[in-house]
Amino acid sequence: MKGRNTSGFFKNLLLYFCLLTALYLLYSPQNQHVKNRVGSAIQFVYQQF
Amino acid sequence: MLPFGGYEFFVLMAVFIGFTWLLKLRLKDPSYRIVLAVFNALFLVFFYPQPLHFFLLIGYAYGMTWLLSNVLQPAKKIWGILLLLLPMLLVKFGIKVHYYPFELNNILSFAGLSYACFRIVGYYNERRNGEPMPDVLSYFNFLSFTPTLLIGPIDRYSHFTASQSRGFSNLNEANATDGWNQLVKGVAFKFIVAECIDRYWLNIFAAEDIRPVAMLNTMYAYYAYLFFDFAGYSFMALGVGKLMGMEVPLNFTNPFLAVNPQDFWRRFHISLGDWLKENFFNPLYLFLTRKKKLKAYPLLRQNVALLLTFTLMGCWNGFKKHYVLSGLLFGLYSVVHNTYLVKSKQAGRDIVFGDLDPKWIRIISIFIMLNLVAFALYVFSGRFPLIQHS
Repeated sequence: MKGRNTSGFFKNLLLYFCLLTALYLLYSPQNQHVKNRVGSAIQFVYQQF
Repeated sequence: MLPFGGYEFFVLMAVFIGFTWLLKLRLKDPSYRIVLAVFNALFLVFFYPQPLHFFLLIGYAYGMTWLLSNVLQPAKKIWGILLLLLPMLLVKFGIKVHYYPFELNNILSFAGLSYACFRIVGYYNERRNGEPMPDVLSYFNFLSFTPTLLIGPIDRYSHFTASQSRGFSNLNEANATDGWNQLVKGVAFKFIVAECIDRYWLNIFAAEDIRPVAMLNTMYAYYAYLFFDFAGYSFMALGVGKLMGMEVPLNFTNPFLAVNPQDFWRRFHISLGDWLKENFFNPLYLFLTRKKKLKAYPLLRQNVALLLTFTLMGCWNGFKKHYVLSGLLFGLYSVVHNTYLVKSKQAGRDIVFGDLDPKWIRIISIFIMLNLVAFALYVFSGRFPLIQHS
Protein backbone atom coordinates (compact mmCIF):
# COMPACT_ATOMS: atom_id res chain seq x y z
CA MET A 1 0.00 0.00 0.00
CA LYS A 2 2.79 2.36 1.02
CA GLY A 3 4.74 1.48 -2.14
CA ARG A 4 1.73 2.28 -4.32
CA ASN A 5 1.30 5.67 -2.61
CA THR A 6 4.97 6.51 -3.12
CA SER A 7 4.88 5.55 -6.80
CA GLY A 8 1.63 7.56 -7.22
CA PHE A 9 3.30 10.56 -5.64
CA PHE A 10 6.28 10.39 -7.99
CA LYS A 11 4.02 9.85 -11.00
CA ASN A 12 2.05 12.97 -10.05
CA LEU A 13 5.27 14.89 -9.48
CA LEU A 14 6.50 13.92 -12.94
CA LEU A 15 3.13 14.79 -14.49
CA TYR A 16 3.04 18.26 -12.91
CA PHE A 17 6.67 18.86 -13.86
CA CYS A 18 5.85 17.99 -17.49
CA LEU A 19 2.74 20.19 -17.51
CA LEU A 20 4.55 23.19 -16.04
CA THR A 21 7.46 22.74 -18.44
CA ALA A 22 5.07 22.58 -21.39
CA LEU A 23 3.28 25.73 -20.19
CA TYR A 24 6.61 27.49 -19.75
CA LEU A 25 7.84 26.45 -23.21
CA LEU A 26 4.60 27.56 -24.87
CA TYR A 27 3.96 30.83 -23.09
CA SER A 28 7.29 32.23 -21.89
CA PRO A 29 8.64 35.29 -23.73
CA GLN A 30 11.44 33.03 -25.06
CA ASN A 31 8.89 31.37 -27.37
CA GLN A 32 8.91 33.58 -30.46
CA HIS A 33 5.85 32.04 -32.14
CA VAL A 34 3.51 34.71 -33.56
CA LYS A 35 0.59 33.26 -31.61
CA ASN A 36 2.46 33.70 -28.33
CA ARG A 37 1.12 37.20 -28.11
CA VAL A 38 3.09 39.78 -26.16
CA GLY A 39 0.92 41.03 -23.35
CA SER A 40 -1.20 37.89 -23.33
CA ALA A 41 -2.59 36.96 -19.95
CA ILE A 42 0.09 34.39 -19.13
CA GLN A 43 2.96 36.63 -20.23
CA PHE A 44 1.52 39.12 -17.77
CA VAL A 45 2.76 36.79 -15.01
CA TYR A 46 6.33 37.05 -16.25
CA GLN A 47 6.18 40.83 -16.40
CA GLN A 48 5.38 40.92 -12.69
CA PHE A 49 8.63 39.27 -11.61
CA MET B 1 -12.57 39.19 -18.56
CA LEU B 2 -14.23 36.07 -19.98
CA PRO B 3 -14.30 32.73 -18.11
CA PHE B 4 -11.05 30.76 -18.61
CA GLY B 5 -9.81 33.50 -20.94
CA GLY B 6 -6.53 33.92 -19.09
CA TYR B 7 -4.44 33.77 -15.98
CA GLU B 8 -6.44 36.42 -14.09
CA PHE B 9 -9.60 34.34 -14.21
CA PHE B 10 -7.89 31.45 -12.41
CA VAL B 11 -6.64 33.79 -9.69
CA LEU B 12 -10.15 35.15 -9.24
CA MET B 13 -11.64 31.66 -9.07
CA ALA B 14 -9.00 30.62 -6.51
CA VAL B 15 -10.11 33.57 -4.36
CA PHE B 16 -13.82 32.64 -4.78
CA ILE B 17 -13.11 28.99 -3.96
CA GLY B 18 -10.98 29.96 -0.94
CA PHE B 19 -13.76 32.18 0.41
CA THR B 20 -16.39 29.46 -0.14
CA TRP B 21 -14.32 26.97 1.87
CA LEU B 22 -13.79 29.56 4.62
CA LEU B 23 -17.50 30.39 4.73
CA LYS B 24 -18.27 26.68 5.13
CA LEU B 25 -16.85 26.98 8.65
CA ARG B 26 -19.31 29.75 9.56
CA LEU B 27 -22.47 29.31 7.51
CA LYS B 28 -25.15 26.64 7.19
CA ASP B 29 -26.13 24.85 3.94
CA PRO B 30 -29.16 27.05 3.05
CA SER B 31 -26.87 30.11 2.88
CA TYR B 32 -24.85 28.47 0.11
CA ARG B 33 -27.06 29.74 -2.71
CA ILE B 34 -26.71 33.30 -1.37
CA VAL B 35 -22.91 32.96 -1.31
CA LEU B 36 -23.02 31.60 -4.85
CA ALA B 37 -25.29 34.44 -6.00
CA VAL B 38 -22.92 37.03 -4.49
CA PHE B 39 -19.92 35.48 -6.28
CA ASN B 40 -21.79 35.23 -9.60
CA ALA B 41 -23.02 38.82 -9.30
CA LEU B 42 -19.55 40.09 -8.36
CA PHE B 43 -18.05 38.40 -11.39
CA LEU B 44 -20.70 39.82 -13.70
CA VAL B 45 -20.53 43.36 -12.32
CA PHE B 46 -16.78 43.78 -11.97
CA PHE B 47 -15.24 41.45 -14.54
CA TYR B 48 -17.73 40.47 -17.27
CA PRO B 49 -17.52 42.70 -20.35
CA GLN B 50 -21.26 43.44 -20.60
CA PRO B 51 -22.91 42.92 -17.18
CA LEU B 52 -26.00 45.04 -17.85
CA HIS B 53 -26.78 42.96 -20.93
CA PHE B 54 -26.72 39.76 -18.90
CA PHE B 55 -28.84 41.14 -16.07
CA LEU B 56 -31.40 42.42 -18.58
CA LEU B 57 -31.61 39.00 -20.24
CA ILE B 58 -32.12 37.26 -16.89
CA GLY B 59 -34.82 39.80 -15.97
CA TYR B 60 -36.51 39.32 -19.34
CA ALA B 61 -36.36 35.51 -19.08
CA TYR B 62 -37.73 35.44 -15.52
CA GLY B 63 -40.49 37.95 -16.30
CA MET B 64 -41.45 36.20 -19.52
CA THR B 65 -41.50 32.76 -17.85
CA TRP B 66 -43.83 34.18 -15.18
CA LEU B 67 -46.01 35.83 -17.82
CA LEU B 68 -46.21 32.65 -19.89
CA SER B 69 -47.01 30.48 -16.88
CA ASN B 70 -49.54 32.76 -15.18
CA VAL B 71 -51.07 35.06 -17.76
CA LEU B 72 -50.54 34.03 -21.37
CA GLN B 73 -50.56 30.24 -20.81
CA PRO B 74 -50.18 29.38 -24.52
CA ALA B 75 -51.77 26.10 -25.63
CA LYS B 76 -48.56 25.12 -27.38
CA LYS B 77 -45.18 25.54 -25.73
CA ILE B 78 -43.55 26.53 -29.00
CA TRP B 79 -45.02 30.07 -28.68
CA GLY B 80 -43.51 30.40 -25.23
CA ILE B 81 -40.16 29.16 -26.51
CA LEU B 82 -40.18 31.65 -29.38
CA LEU B 83 -40.97 34.51 -26.99
CA LEU B 84 -38.16 33.43 -24.65
CA LEU B 85 -35.79 33.20 -27.59
CA LEU B 86 -36.82 36.56 -29.03
CA PRO B 87 -33.63 38.42 -27.97
CA MET B 88 -31.43 35.73 -29.48
CA LEU B 89 -33.51 35.42 -32.66
CA LEU B 90 -33.18 39.17 -33.25
CA VAL B 91 -29.40 38.82 -32.96
CA LYS B 92 -29.08 35.63 -35.03
CA PHE B 93 -31.30 36.95 -37.83
CA GLY B 94 -29.49 40.28 -37.70
CA ILE B 95 -32.77 42.18 -37.25
CA LYS B 96 -31.87 45.70 -36.20
CA VAL B 97 -34.30 47.72 -34.13
CA HIS B 98 -33.37 51.35 -33.57
CA TYR B 99 -35.31 53.14 -30.95
CA TYR B 100 -34.38 56.31 -29.12
CA PRO B 101 -32.57 56.48 -26.65
CA PHE B 102 -30.76 53.22 -27.45
CA GLU B 103 -30.25 50.77 -30.24
CA LEU B 104 -31.92 47.55 -29.14
CA ASN B 105 -29.34 45.30 -30.79
CA ASN B 106 -26.57 46.83 -28.73
CA ILE B 107 -28.09 45.47 -25.54
CA LEU B 108 -29.08 42.09 -26.98
CA SER B 109 -25.79 40.83 -28.34
CA PHE B 110 -23.13 39.65 -25.90
CA ALA B 111 -20.82 36.69 -25.24
CA GLY B 112 -22.72 33.81 -23.67
CA LEU B 113 -26.15 34.73 -25.10
CA SER B 114 -26.67 31.39 -26.89
CA TYR B 115 -25.85 29.25 -23.87
CA ALA B 116 -27.98 31.39 -21.58
CA CYS B 117 -30.86 30.87 -24.03
CA PHE B 118 -30.30 27.08 -24.03
CA ARG B 119 -30.72 27.13 -20.26
CA ILE B 120 -33.73 29.51 -20.33
CA VAL B 121 -35.62 27.29 -22.80
CA GLY B 122 -34.48 24.13 -20.98
CA TYR B 123 -35.99 25.41 -17.73
CA TYR B 124 -39.24 26.51 -19.42
CA ASN B 125 -39.70 23.04 -20.94
CA GLU B 126 -38.77 21.36 -17.67
CA ARG B 127 -41.50 23.24 -15.79
CA ARG B 128 -44.67 21.34 -15.00
CA ASN B 129 -48.12 22.98 -15.31
CA GLY B 130 -49.01 24.95 -12.19
CA GLU B 131 -45.51 24.72 -10.76
CA PRO B 132 -44.62 27.83 -8.71
CA MET B 133 -41.95 30.16 -10.06
CA PRO B 134 -38.39 29.34 -8.97
CA ASP B 135 -36.81 31.57 -6.37
CA VAL B 136 -35.00 34.48 -7.99
CA LEU B 137 -31.58 33.64 -6.53
CA SER B 138 -31.59 30.04 -7.77
CA TYR B 139 -32.75 31.14 -11.22
CA PHE B 140 -30.05 33.80 -11.28
CA ASN B 141 -27.39 31.27 -10.19
CA PHE B 142 -28.59 28.77 -12.78
CA LEU B 143 -28.16 31.25 -15.62
CA SER B 144 -25.05 33.03 -14.40
CA PHE B 145 -22.96 30.27 -12.75
CA THR B 146 -19.51 31.64 -13.60
CA PRO B 147 -17.64 28.46 -14.73
CA THR B 148 -20.39 27.53 -17.23
CA LEU B 149 -21.40 31.06 -18.19
CA LEU B 150 -19.84 31.23 -21.62
CA ILE B 151 -20.08 27.89 -23.43
CA GLY B 152 -21.65 25.41 -21.05
CA PRO B 153 -21.93 22.54 -20.29
CA ILE B 154 -25.70 23.08 -20.40
CA ASP B 155 -27.12 21.96 -17.09
CA ARG B 156 -30.73 21.08 -16.26
CA TYR B 157 -32.39 23.35 -13.69
CA SER B 158 -33.46 20.41 -11.50
CA HIS B 159 -29.91 19.00 -11.51
CA PHE B 160 -28.41 22.41 -10.78
CA THR B 161 -30.71 23.18 -7.85
CA ALA B 162 -30.27 19.66 -6.42
CA SER B 163 -26.53 20.27 -6.37
CA GLN B 164 -27.03 23.77 -4.98
CA SER B 165 -29.30 22.55 -2.19
CA ARG B 166 -26.61 20.19 -0.91
CA GLY B 167 -24.76 23.41 -0.20
CA PHE B 168 -21.52 23.41 1.70
CA SER B 169 -21.71 19.60 2.22
CA ASN B 170 -20.40 19.26 -1.35
CA LEU B 171 -17.16 20.90 -0.23
CA ASN B 172 -15.31 17.79 0.86
CA GLU B 173 -11.95 16.18 0.20
CA ALA B 174 -13.18 13.70 -2.40
CA ASN B 175 -14.89 16.41 -4.50
CA ALA B 176 -11.92 18.75 -4.12
CA THR B 177 -9.48 16.09 -5.34
CA ASP B 178 -11.72 15.15 -8.25
CA GLY B 179 -12.32 18.82 -9.12
CA TRP B 180 -8.60 19.57 -9.06
CA ASN B 181 -7.85 16.59 -11.33
CA GLN B 182 -10.54 17.69 -13.82
CA LEU B 183 -9.16 21.23 -13.74
CA VAL B 184 -5.60 20.05 -14.44
CA LYS B 185 -6.88 17.83 -17.26
CA GLY B 186 -8.75 20.80 -18.73
CA VAL B 187 -5.68 23.06 -18.52
CA ALA B 188 -3.56 20.40 -20.23
CA PHE B 189 -6.16 19.91 -22.98
CA LYS B 190 -6.85 23.57 -23.70
CA PHE B 191 -3.66 25.44 -22.90
CA ILE B 192 -1.16 22.79 -24.00
CA VAL B 193 -2.59 20.28 -26.50
CA ALA B 194 -5.09 22.58 -28.29
CA GLU B 195 -2.57 25.42 -28.30
CA CYS B 196 0.12 23.15 -29.82
CA ILE B 197 -2.31 21.93 -32.50
CA ASP B 198 -3.27 25.52 -33.33
CA ARG B 199 0.30 26.75 -33.49
CA TYR B 200 2.12 23.84 -35.08
CA TRP B 201 -0.38 21.67 -36.99
CA LEU B 202 -3.62 23.38 -37.99
CA ASN B 203 -2.09 26.11 -40.08
CA ILE B 204 0.58 24.13 -41.95
CA PHE B 205 -1.43 24.64 -45.14
CA ALA B 206 -3.49 27.69 -46.08
CA ALA B 207 -7.25 27.25 -45.71
CA GLU B 208 -7.69 28.02 -49.44
CA ASP B 209 -5.32 25.19 -50.48
CA ILE B 210 -7.44 22.62 -52.34
CA ARG B 211 -4.83 19.87 -52.67
CA PRO B 212 -6.13 16.66 -51.03
CA VAL B 213 -3.19 16.47 -48.62
CA ALA B 214 -3.81 20.04 -47.42
CA MET B 215 -7.55 19.50 -47.02
CA LEU B 216 -7.11 16.21 -45.16
CA ASN B 217 -4.51 17.79 -42.88
CA THR B 218 -6.79 20.72 -42.01
CA MET B 219 -9.76 18.39 -41.55
CA TYR B 220 -8.05 16.14 -38.99
CA ALA B 221 -6.20 19.01 -37.31
CA TYR B 222 -9.40 21.01 -36.86
CA TYR B 223 -11.27 18.05 -35.32
CA ALA B 224 -8.41 17.47 -32.89
CA TYR B 225 -8.15 21.20 -32.13
CA LEU B 226 -11.89 21.62 -31.56
CA PHE B 227 -12.05 18.60 -29.29
CA PHE B 228 -9.09 19.53 -27.09
CA ASP B 229 -10.07 23.19 -26.92
CA PHE B 230 -13.74 22.60 -26.13
CA ALA B 231 -13.25 19.53 -23.95
CA GLY B 232 -10.49 21.40 -22.12
CA TYR B 233 -12.88 24.26 -21.42
CA SER B 234 -15.58 21.83 -20.26
CA PHE B 235 -13.22 19.92 -17.94
CA MET B 236 -12.02 23.19 -16.43
CA ALA B 237 -15.66 24.26 -15.87
CA LEU B 238 -16.36 20.89 -14.28
CA GLY B 239 -13.27 21.12 -12.08
CA VAL B 240 -13.82 24.71 -10.91
CA GLY B 241 -17.51 23.92 -10.36
CA LYS B 242 -16.63 20.95 -8.16
CA LEU B 243 -14.06 22.95 -6.21
CA MET B 244 -16.83 25.51 -5.57
CA GLY B 245 -19.19 22.73 -4.47
CA MET B 246 -21.32 22.41 -7.62
CA GLU B 247 -21.79 19.37 -9.85
CA VAL B 248 -21.35 20.35 -13.50
CA PRO B 249 -22.40 17.68 -16.05
CA LEU B 250 -19.70 15.81 -17.97
CA ASN B 251 -19.54 17.06 -21.55
CA PHE B 252 -16.95 14.90 -23.34
CA THR B 253 -15.89 11.28 -23.10
CA ASN B 254 -13.63 9.87 -25.85
CA PRO B 255 -15.59 10.98 -28.95
CA PHE B 256 -12.85 9.55 -31.20
CA LEU B 257 -14.08 6.08 -30.20
CA ALA B 258 -17.69 6.66 -31.29
CA VAL B 259 -19.06 3.84 -33.45
CA ASN B 260 -22.15 5.62 -34.81
CA PRO B 261 -23.79 9.10 -34.76
CA GLN B 262 -25.95 8.21 -31.75
CA ASP B 263 -22.87 7.09 -29.84
CA PHE B 264 -20.98 10.20 -30.97
CA TRP B 265 -23.53 12.57 -29.37
CA ARG B 266 -23.27 10.58 -26.16
CA ARG B 267 -19.55 11.37 -26.15
CA PHE B 268 -19.14 14.80 -27.79
CA HIS B 269 -20.81 17.88 -26.30
CA ILE B 270 -23.09 15.53 -24.36
CA SER B 271 -25.09 18.32 -22.75
CA LEU B 272 -25.99 19.79 -26.16
CA GLY B 273 -27.04 16.37 -27.47
CA ASP B 274 -29.25 15.83 -24.40
CA TRP B 275 -30.68 19.34 -24.67
CA LEU B 276 -31.57 18.89 -28.34
CA LYS B 277 -33.14 15.50 -27.66
CA GLU B 278 -35.28 16.73 -24.76
CA ASN B 279 -36.22 20.14 -26.08
CA PHE B 280 -36.49 19.64 -29.81
CA PHE B 281 -36.34 16.04 -31.06
CA ASN B 282 -38.84 14.52 -28.58
CA PRO B 283 -41.54 17.26 -28.94
CA LEU B 284 -41.09 17.28 -32.72
CA TYR B 285 -41.33 13.49 -32.97
CA LEU B 286 -44.46 13.60 -30.79
CA PHE B 287 -45.94 16.31 -33.03
CA LEU B 288 -45.23 14.22 -36.16
CA THR B 289 -46.63 11.08 -34.51
CA ARG B 290 -49.96 12.87 -34.01
CA LYS B 291 -50.20 13.60 -37.75
CA LYS B 292 -52.62 11.07 -39.24
CA LYS B 293 -50.92 11.12 -42.66
CA LEU B 294 -47.62 10.05 -41.09
CA LYS B 295 -49.10 7.33 -38.86
CA ALA B 296 -48.04 4.55 -41.22
CA TYR B 297 -44.47 5.82 -41.63
CA PRO B 298 -42.60 5.60 -38.31
CA LEU B 299 -39.17 5.55 -40.01
CA LEU B 300 -39.99 8.68 -42.00
CA ARG B 301 -41.16 10.45 -38.82
CA GLN B 302 -37.95 9.58 -37.00
CA ASN B 303 -35.76 10.65 -39.91
CA VAL B 304 -37.58 13.96 -40.46
CA ALA B 305 -37.27 14.75 -36.74
CA LEU B 306 -33.57 13.83 -36.77
CA LEU B 307 -32.79 15.90 -39.86
CA LEU B 308 -34.63 18.97 -38.54
CA THR B 309 -33.01 18.65 -35.09
CA PHE B 310 -29.49 18.67 -36.48
CA THR B 311 -30.27 21.41 -38.98
CA LEU B 312 -31.50 23.52 -36.08
CA MET B 313 -28.26 22.76 -34.26
CA GLY B 314 -26.35 24.08 -37.29
CA CYS B 315 -28.52 27.21 -37.49
CA TRP B 316 -28.04 27.87 -33.78
CA ASN B 317 -24.41 28.77 -34.44
CA GLY B 318 -25.52 31.39 -36.96
CA PHE B 319 -27.24 31.51 -40.32
CA LYS B 320 -24.05 31.00 -42.29
CA LYS B 321 -23.84 28.45 -45.09
CA HIS B 322 -21.09 26.40 -43.43
CA TYR B 323 -22.95 26.14 -40.10
CA VAL B 324 -26.23 25.07 -41.71
CA LEU B 325 -24.45 22.59 -44.01
CA SER B 326 -22.55 20.98 -41.14
CA GLY B 327 -25.82 20.60 -39.22
CA LEU B 328 -27.41 19.02 -42.30
CA LEU B 329 -24.46 16.63 -42.60
CA PHE B 330 -24.78 15.52 -38.98
CA GLY B 331 -28.53 15.10 -39.61
CA LEU B 332 -27.85 13.04 -42.70
CA TYR B 333 -25.43 10.76 -40.81
CA SER B 334 -28.09 10.13 -38.17
CA VAL B 335 -30.79 9.48 -40.79
CA VAL B 336 -28.59 6.92 -42.62
CA HIS B 337 -27.65 5.20 -39.36
CA ASN B 338 -31.26 5.14 -38.13
CA THR B 339 -32.44 3.66 -41.44
CA TYR B 340 -29.68 1.05 -41.26
CA LEU B 341 -30.77 0.08 -37.72
CA VAL B 342 -34.47 -0.22 -38.64
CA LYS B 343 -33.83 -2.12 -41.86
CA SER B 344 -31.39 -4.50 -40.12
CA LYS B 345 -34.02 -5.18 -37.45
CA GLN B 346 -36.65 -5.84 -40.12
CA ALA B 347 -34.30 -8.16 -42.03
CA GLY B 348 -33.24 -9.95 -38.85
CA ARG B 349 -29.55 -9.53 -39.73
CA ASP B 350 -26.92 -6.80 -40.13
CA ILE B 351 -27.62 -5.54 -43.66
CA VAL B 352 -24.19 -3.89 -44.04
CA PHE B 353 -21.66 -6.00 -42.14
CA GLY B 354 -23.40 -9.40 -42.37
CA ASP B 355 -21.61 -12.00 -40.27
CA LEU B 356 -18.36 -10.07 -39.87
CA ASP B 357 -16.49 -10.45 -36.57
CA PRO B 358 -17.88 -7.83 -34.07
CA LYS B 359 -14.30 -6.75 -33.31
CA TRP B 360 -13.81 -5.80 -36.97
CA ILE B 361 -17.25 -4.16 -37.14
CA ARG B 362 -16.21 -1.98 -34.22
CA ILE B 363 -12.86 -1.01 -35.78
CA ILE B 364 -14.44 -0.20 -39.17
CA SER B 365 -17.28 1.75 -37.51
CA ILE B 366 -14.83 3.86 -35.47
CA PHE B 367 -12.81 4.60 -38.61
CA ILE B 368 -15.88 5.59 -40.64
CA MET B 369 -17.34 7.70 -37.82
CA LEU B 370 -14.05 9.48 -37.15
CA ASN B 371 -13.79 10.55 -40.77
CA LEU B 372 -17.45 11.51 -41.16
CA VAL B 373 -17.32 13.67 -38.02
CA ALA B 374 -14.00 15.21 -39.03
CA PHE B 375 -15.52 16.15 -42.39
CA ALA B 376 -18.70 17.66 -40.88
CA LEU B 377 -16.60 19.69 -38.42
CA TYR B 378 -14.28 20.73 -41.26
CA VAL B 379 -17.33 22.19 -43.02
CA PHE B 380 -18.44 23.74 -39.70
CA SER B 381 -15.06 25.43 -39.30
CA GLY B 382 -15.60 27.55 -42.39
CA ARG B 383 -12.19 26.40 -43.66
CA PHE B 384 -13.56 23.96 -46.25
CA PRO B 385 -12.41 25.71 -49.45
CA LEU B 386 -15.05 24.24 -51.75
CA ILE B 387 -17.88 26.11 -50.04
CA GLN B 388 -18.23 29.78 -50.83
CA HIS B 389 -18.89 31.72 -47.65
CA SER B 390 -22.06 33.71 -47.42
